Amino acid sequence: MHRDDDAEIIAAARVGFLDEAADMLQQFEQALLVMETDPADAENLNAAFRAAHTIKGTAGLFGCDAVVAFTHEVETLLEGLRSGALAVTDPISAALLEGLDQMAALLDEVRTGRASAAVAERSQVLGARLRQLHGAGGVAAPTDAVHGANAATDLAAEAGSAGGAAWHLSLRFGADALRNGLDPLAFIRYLGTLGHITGCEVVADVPALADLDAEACHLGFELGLRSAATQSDIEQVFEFARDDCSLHIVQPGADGSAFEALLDLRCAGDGASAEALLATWARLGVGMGQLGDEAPPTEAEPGDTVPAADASAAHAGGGARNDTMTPAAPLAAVAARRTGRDRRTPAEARFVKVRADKLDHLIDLIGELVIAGSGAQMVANQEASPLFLEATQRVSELVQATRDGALALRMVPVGETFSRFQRVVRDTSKQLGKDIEFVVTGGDTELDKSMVELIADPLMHLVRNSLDHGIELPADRLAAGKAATGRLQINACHEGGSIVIEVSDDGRGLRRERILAKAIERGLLPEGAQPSDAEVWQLIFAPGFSTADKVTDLSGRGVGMDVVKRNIEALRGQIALTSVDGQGTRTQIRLPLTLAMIDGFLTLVGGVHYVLPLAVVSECIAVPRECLADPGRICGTFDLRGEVLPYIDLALFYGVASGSAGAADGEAQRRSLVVVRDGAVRVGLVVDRLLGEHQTVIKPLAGIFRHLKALAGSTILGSGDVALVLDMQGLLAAALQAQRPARPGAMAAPSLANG
Amino acid sequence: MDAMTEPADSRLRIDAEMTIAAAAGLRETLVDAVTALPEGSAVLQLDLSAVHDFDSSGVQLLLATRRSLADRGAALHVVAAAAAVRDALQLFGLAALLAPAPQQPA
Repeated sequence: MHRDDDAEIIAAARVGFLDEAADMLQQFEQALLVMETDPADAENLNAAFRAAHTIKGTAGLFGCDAVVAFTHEVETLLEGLRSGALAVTDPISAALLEGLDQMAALLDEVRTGRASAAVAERSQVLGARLRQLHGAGGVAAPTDAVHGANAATDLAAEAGSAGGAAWHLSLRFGADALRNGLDPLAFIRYLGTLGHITGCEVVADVPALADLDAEACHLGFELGLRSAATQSDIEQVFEFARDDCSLHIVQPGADGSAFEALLDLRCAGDGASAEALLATWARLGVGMGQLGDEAPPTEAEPGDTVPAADASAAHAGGGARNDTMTPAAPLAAVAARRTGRDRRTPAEARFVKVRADKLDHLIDLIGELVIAGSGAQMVANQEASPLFLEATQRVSELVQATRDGALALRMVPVGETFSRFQRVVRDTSKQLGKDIEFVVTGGDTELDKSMVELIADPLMHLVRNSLDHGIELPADRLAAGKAATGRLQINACHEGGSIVIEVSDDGRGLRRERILAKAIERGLLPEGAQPSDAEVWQLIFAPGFSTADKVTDLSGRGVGMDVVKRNIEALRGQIALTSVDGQGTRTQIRLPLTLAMIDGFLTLVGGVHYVLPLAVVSECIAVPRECLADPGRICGTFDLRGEVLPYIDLALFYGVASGSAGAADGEAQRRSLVVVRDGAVRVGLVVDRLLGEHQTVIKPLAGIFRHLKALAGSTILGSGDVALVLDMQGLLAAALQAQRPARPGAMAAPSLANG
Repeated sequence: MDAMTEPADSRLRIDAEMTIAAAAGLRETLVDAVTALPEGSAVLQLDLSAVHDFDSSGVQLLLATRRSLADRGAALHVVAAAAAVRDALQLFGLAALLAPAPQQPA
């Protein structure tokens, strides 16, 4: 093969490796954090080990020696924890977390291709520390969870003099094993070097020659091995076959239940194969009495549906490598290996990795489809043919479903982003000497993937603020009559057509008076100003504003909150704060679910089409008299069933000639008023005509149009006309600003809903 | 493929490697041999003394051949085996295939 092709292929594979490694690191971190609070969770220790192990293995394939060497130290320490030889202690947790950071640094070097001496030195120092922790760790008192593993280690030690303990291995190779260059013969031969193979039975359903695919692998094996090696050593033998082979090890001294579980795993209720497997085991002399009466014939009844995953997890005592295996062909191990990794995913969920640009292309096409569908509907309306109308209606429904489905592809649960804060909270609270409980609720709430990435930084800033300035030191909290442990909570939920994310803490809260004083001092407000509570909180978002006494590493420089606000507004979102002095602070962020499409309400103003987000439309009424009273007036108020609401005459606001301009005799062409709602605030918009619902793809406006007021983007109608998409927040801000009596230096702060 | 069938004894000698590379071709050869087995013959004899390269695909072929023969009421007998073959079959616990006495059909 051409040298260049090789290099290209390897480079592409490396990107995939780095992506996967990043995933593994995240899982590793999660597992380590769980380990700190729940050290007895054996499955979690396994997960941590697997993550580190995978990184090491794949790094080895790419010759990333620095990563391999360092990760090996981490892995060894984890193995010690996993087998129960070591207990989880604070120094060990801390060292592992630092190890994780070092692994990340090393992988980053792989990515950039640059190595630094500082990083290399740290590998040495940390590596030595990890080794020391491993060697110095005494044998811990076995907890219930690792009892089984401990027993195996003891037995192995006892049997050491006899040449090793008696292990049982059950191997099933995947159909592509041979094609992928693996030879079961070689593996078993190598296994033999670990000790002595006491028996090997081929479990194979090899078809007759006529039906045989000679290059596919039909072989499985049940083996007895007498060896002094550790389980990890044995598993290592099959390292390279991991993708094409299902390995299940039964530890020495395991009781009959382990074999029952293995039987379920391999045969899953198929009576004939279960009997055959039992016979095989009998021939191998398996268990020397562990089976026999202990395997009741009822196990093998056909039609029994035993959930294999549960059985193996419950009984196998850590011996299973692929926890969520289905009992079908060993090929399932390939798919199962992926699902086994994500503990949050239900056992049946499978994932496909898709390139982001392909997804974007799909969404673009669907956007075009939506527009074309609208066009078809318009023609159908004009033709006034019932059959045609019906047909386009059907198409419309399908297009809508497709659109929803496509957008859903881009939605990811926000919880994934939130989880990275756990580490920050842990590290920071330790650093500051504070005791903080971090709670995430509503992590399942979904948001467009591109937006999730963009809110991570603003949220992090808010979290840091709470950690640094919000929550007090334990001593101060106790003195104030609060619990010593502070609480930091992130909550996400859907509301209307938006997602609402709240960051709240029960710390010292914000001091209204100090903020006001500071604002006056900085000239943001005139002396003697009397702003409302909401307006005071909004002052926090002014650039350079900070009331912090101390500027710390983390925050207090006053460069944060305005940037946070800008970032949120760039996503067409809103941010608002509320606080009670001494009790805590809550920051609420409201974002649209997606930036790509919008369910809109189409209106016509002065011959120009404007689209409003359907979610904000509250009602439509004929334009009230008072709005027409003063023809030149852009904004004013009107009476809606006894309530006074502001309104904007869109035609005048945008400077387009209204459709009713010609009617000088007061007999205005019937115009309409659309009441739109944003939280608790409602505003009326005067338009010429209402044109109904219209789903549409939002295209951003080109740069030269940015100065236009209160526009979020544009879209194309079925007729080919361009419609402008209104930015509700901008509009409302404009309306409310016009409400206030003018004040020098007044800040036009829209009164957003106080949570 | 270097294989000679001696009509009188239903005996097949394989002179090539029995590995994944040759597996598909060998399968053909074995299919022919099994089909060509004269009526009434109880045994197909395989001479593997020249098979110096033997992997799991080779094992599979032997097992498949044994099955095909069993379907016709015949048996497989490996009359001679090179060291490579012998070692592999021992490792897999399939030494029975090398047994001197012809096996009874299943």
